[in-house]
Amino acid sequence: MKLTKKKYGLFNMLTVCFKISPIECIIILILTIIGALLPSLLIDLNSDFIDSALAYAEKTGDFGQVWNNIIKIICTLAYMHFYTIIIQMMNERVNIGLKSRFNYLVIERSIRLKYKYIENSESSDLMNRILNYPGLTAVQNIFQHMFSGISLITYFMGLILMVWHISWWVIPLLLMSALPLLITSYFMSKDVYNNVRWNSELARKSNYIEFDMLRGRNLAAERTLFGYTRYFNDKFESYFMRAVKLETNIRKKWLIINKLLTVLIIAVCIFVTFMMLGQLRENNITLGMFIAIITAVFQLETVLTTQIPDLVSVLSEDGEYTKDFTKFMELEEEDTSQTKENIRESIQTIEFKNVYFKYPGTENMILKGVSFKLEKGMHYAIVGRNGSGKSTLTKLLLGLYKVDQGEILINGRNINAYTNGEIHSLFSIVYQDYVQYSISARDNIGIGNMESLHNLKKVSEAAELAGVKDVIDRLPRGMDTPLGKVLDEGVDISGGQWQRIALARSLMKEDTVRILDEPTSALDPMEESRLYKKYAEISKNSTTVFISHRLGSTKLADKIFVLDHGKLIEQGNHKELMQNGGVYREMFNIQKEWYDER
Amino acid sequence: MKDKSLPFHKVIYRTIHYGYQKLAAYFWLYIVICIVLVMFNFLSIKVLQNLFDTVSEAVSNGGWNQAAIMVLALGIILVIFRIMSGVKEYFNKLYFMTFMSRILKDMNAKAGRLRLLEFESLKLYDKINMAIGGVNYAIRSSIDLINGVIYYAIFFLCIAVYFYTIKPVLLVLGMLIFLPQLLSNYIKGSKMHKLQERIVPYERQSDYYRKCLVDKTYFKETKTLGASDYFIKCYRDKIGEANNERWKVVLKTSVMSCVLTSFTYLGYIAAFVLLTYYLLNGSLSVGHFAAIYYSLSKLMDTMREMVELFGTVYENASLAGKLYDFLELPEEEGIDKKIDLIQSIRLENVCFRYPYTDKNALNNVSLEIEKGSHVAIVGLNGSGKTTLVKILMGLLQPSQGKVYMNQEDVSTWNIRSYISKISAVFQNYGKYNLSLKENIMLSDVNLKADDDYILHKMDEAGFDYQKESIAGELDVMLGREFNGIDLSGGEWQRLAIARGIYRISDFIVLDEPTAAIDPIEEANVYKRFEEISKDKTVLVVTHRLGSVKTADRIIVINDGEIVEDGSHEELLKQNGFYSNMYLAQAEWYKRENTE
Repeated sequence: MKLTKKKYGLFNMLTVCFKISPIECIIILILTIIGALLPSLLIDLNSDFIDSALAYAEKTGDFGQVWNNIIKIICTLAYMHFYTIIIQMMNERVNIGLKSRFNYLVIERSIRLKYKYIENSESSDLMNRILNYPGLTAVQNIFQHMFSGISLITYFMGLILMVWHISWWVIPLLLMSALPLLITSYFMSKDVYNNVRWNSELARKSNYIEFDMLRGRNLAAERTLFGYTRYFNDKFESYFMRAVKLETNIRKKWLIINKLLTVLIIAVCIFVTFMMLGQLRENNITLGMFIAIITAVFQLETVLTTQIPDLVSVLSEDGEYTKDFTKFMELEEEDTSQTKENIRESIQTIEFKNVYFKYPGTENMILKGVSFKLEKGMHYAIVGRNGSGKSTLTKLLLGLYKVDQGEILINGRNINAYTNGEIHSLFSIVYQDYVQYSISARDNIGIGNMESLHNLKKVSEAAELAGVKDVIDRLPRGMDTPLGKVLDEGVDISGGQWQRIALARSLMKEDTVRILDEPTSALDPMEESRLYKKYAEISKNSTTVFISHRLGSTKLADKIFVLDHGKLIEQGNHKELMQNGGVYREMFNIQKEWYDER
Repeated sequence: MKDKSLPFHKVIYRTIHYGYQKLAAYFWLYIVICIVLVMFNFLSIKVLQNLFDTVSEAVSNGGWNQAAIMVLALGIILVIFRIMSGVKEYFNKLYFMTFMSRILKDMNAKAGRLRLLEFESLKLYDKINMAIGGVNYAIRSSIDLINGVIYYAIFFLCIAVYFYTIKPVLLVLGMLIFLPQLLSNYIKGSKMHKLQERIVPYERQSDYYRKCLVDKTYFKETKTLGASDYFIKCYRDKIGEANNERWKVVLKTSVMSCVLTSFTYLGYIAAFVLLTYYLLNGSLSVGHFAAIYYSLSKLMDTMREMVELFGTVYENASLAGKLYDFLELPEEEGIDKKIDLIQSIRLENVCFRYPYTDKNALNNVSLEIEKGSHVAIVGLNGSGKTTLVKILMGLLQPSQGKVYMNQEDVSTWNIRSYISKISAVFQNYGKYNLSLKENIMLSDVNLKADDDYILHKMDEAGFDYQKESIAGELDVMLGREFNGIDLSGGEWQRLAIARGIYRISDFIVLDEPTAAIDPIEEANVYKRFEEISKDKTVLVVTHRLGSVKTADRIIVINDGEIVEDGSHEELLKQNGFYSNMYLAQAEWYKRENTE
């Protein structure tokens, strides 16, 4: 099965399920249709049964007839009791199929998406809806809702058929009276969906106050000290209740419309009953038939006034998910179409040539004409104030974004000539927002270089170098201890220890360009100093780029780049920059002053 | 500390009690609606029976007018029934949400009264999270219970009475339907729940691996590491295991369902045969038969609904219990005390240990801080400096030892009194998505100061409120969440300082600014802070030793103990811990030929 880009509707989702588990779906379909026809059959059987029983009581019929009807009813009831068990089993099979195949395809596609979608809030919200909430289980729900739809419609048709052969005119009458209700319930679910609490601004505000401010963990100390709970709690309540009022008002409006239309349907049913009463009086129908038709009409009433409107609103909510899914399928994947030459080489040079860049969908240029050149085996430092564009450089280097103007050359070749996989294999990085994987300590480090994932010696060496070996050795199962909080036996470690794990991860590759983005932010001064001292070992055989606020670290660099407001304003070694008397000197002196012995 | 949850009956009692206490009017109204609804539901059965009876009577003996009246009555009852169920649904929603707002408000207030310790320890914080999860269930249970007890009890009672008046032996019918249904659902509920729990860990893990692949926080790193294949394999393996396990469970539960459904089916058949028998021997009229037969399936459905409902109530109760556990956590307490001026704070042999840990974070710390002194606390990660500061501020209480303020033992005081003259700029200060004004005045909501005072404090903190996007407008919204203006790291930091000094205080703490601000800004922060708090008692916590050289006194913490205490010069001379740390940092700023 393959996911294709097209407009997805409810039926497409059903088709997906049919493609994944065809046999199960067909079984469900057949069982459902039979199951839905039986209630009407049962009404028919009951009417026959009553007529035959009456005949027997009045001594005009024989018992065989009655017996016959009893058997039929018992068999029908047996089916109605047991078929749902099989359907449930088959449903589970469909779920299992969806989970192992469809979900996998969607996830695979998400991985291939262009990186810009991850950082853009609109598309990342979309992905969140597709994958997390309501998430992929929505497809299972759509499947079930569609089948309840099929079942309901079949049941409905069965009832119609039953009534039809007694007096056909009842049907168009009923349908016409039900039409307004069906239309309004569609609009109602739309209206409610668009205005419910969770979407509105008020709701988001009240959520923010309660979750982040009044009960959150990050602000606990501040909240306790400042004691603002009562003040904002009142504010929370007023937001919350205003949101509630908004929603209940909408519901009230629709409730009134809805119930007026329901009365219309009931009136028609009563009218039909009167007509049938007339027919019975004229002896056109039997008592059994009368009971049957009245039962059917009032069952139709339930279907029309409650079941179908409920289904409509559920399905129209499902429809929102399929709309999202269509949008999701429209997102572009990374370009992997052309087969590019497979480059397995190490980086000799990296060159930025007059690079301009702004994040997609924003106006603000982050890099404004940056040019520099990195050479193999050298150590570089990039410094600059907040927001000067340091971390953006990393993202461009890794091919996560494309430059707007200018070019980036790797070994003299434009970066676009490489696939992203190739580019990624050339670098190893410690991100500022490094990740804490809840997997074993060994794999946490090992995934820094997939080729030596199982090379325990190498993993140990990397851990040793990053200064985290002794921490790991003290864990209950050493290298194999799961870290983090996801696994039950997982062990959580401190922020500084996690950061050293992330560092060890980046040390798994040799002959690489190693980018360290604020790698000491969670370390204390002694740890930081130790790391700097080990720097020669850490950076052996590789090119390094050290990004930091702490200018002490520039001692390690052969060349320093100073970024300011997206421009490279100074470059050179420490001595040169100090003589230049620019921003670098100012920053360095401020920090140095702290340690001057005067 | 033991984690014991409330027993089921207590949860139920509290749930009902809570609902009643919070919304008595709604509570009664809801009950009335339930009663009306159930009466009409029952009436519709009764009228239908009468209809069939009069009609069969009319067929043989005439009396069509009677029948017509019955049809009309049926119509009216149906209309009322449908309208009432609409009202109930609407009311249900309203009740639910109003109840929700009350519970959440209670929870917020409770969170405000909790000791900070509850938030510091992750295990305890998990409790709070679970309580939030319990809110929905508590409300659901409360509504379901009223609904269940009132609606179903009355419904079945009416049916029983009705059957009894027709023919006492018909009560047996009820039993035939009721008992198998109850039995099978009881078995199902207790067994299936356990079976299903077996799948949970598999699913949690596969969920996590999926996150590692596509979640925003993981995406960049997983992808650039080239580790996607690794996690895909983990994901597929876990999904595979989960599916196998799930299928096993499904097979077991299906077999179980088959057996149990047989009971209910047989019960139903027995009831049907019994009815037929009475119809044939003439002791039951056709109308009665039809009405009872019709009500059998309705009875069956209602029964299933009820048993399922109570099943959910039972399941939800344990989740709702978490909410009550939370609401019963110990709170701050103690006597009120008026503090005019903080002359001194003194610790005597203070020890502190976080819950669920086996090591003291602070060990036997004694120290005194006097009015007007500027003190710095330094130390390595995890040395206990933050804990010490929190104890000095009164946010945490020592596990052993005593705290004295103005030479009085504070252990019987209430925290609010202790902290009434203390302010702080925290390390992870809030970047509140509120208006500029609220961002500042929240540190002292009772102060009721005018705008000029707020502007003055912002000036002092060096926050530029004249900049283009703010233009002196105090009501401007900050933060991206609600489309406000976003400030830079440095601006937020200054705003946090303005907030800290807005609060009336004699004693103010500056916790180390994080890496979020650059070195130039960082240096400015320390300088400005020193200046604006000249006449206060000041406590600064930091890693960056150079930045606190000018403090009157530097306290060095290591492994939960005070290891050194003195001025910068004194400590350097001691050649101990402080000087080691200081030199380790200074080393990286020593270069040849610099100036």
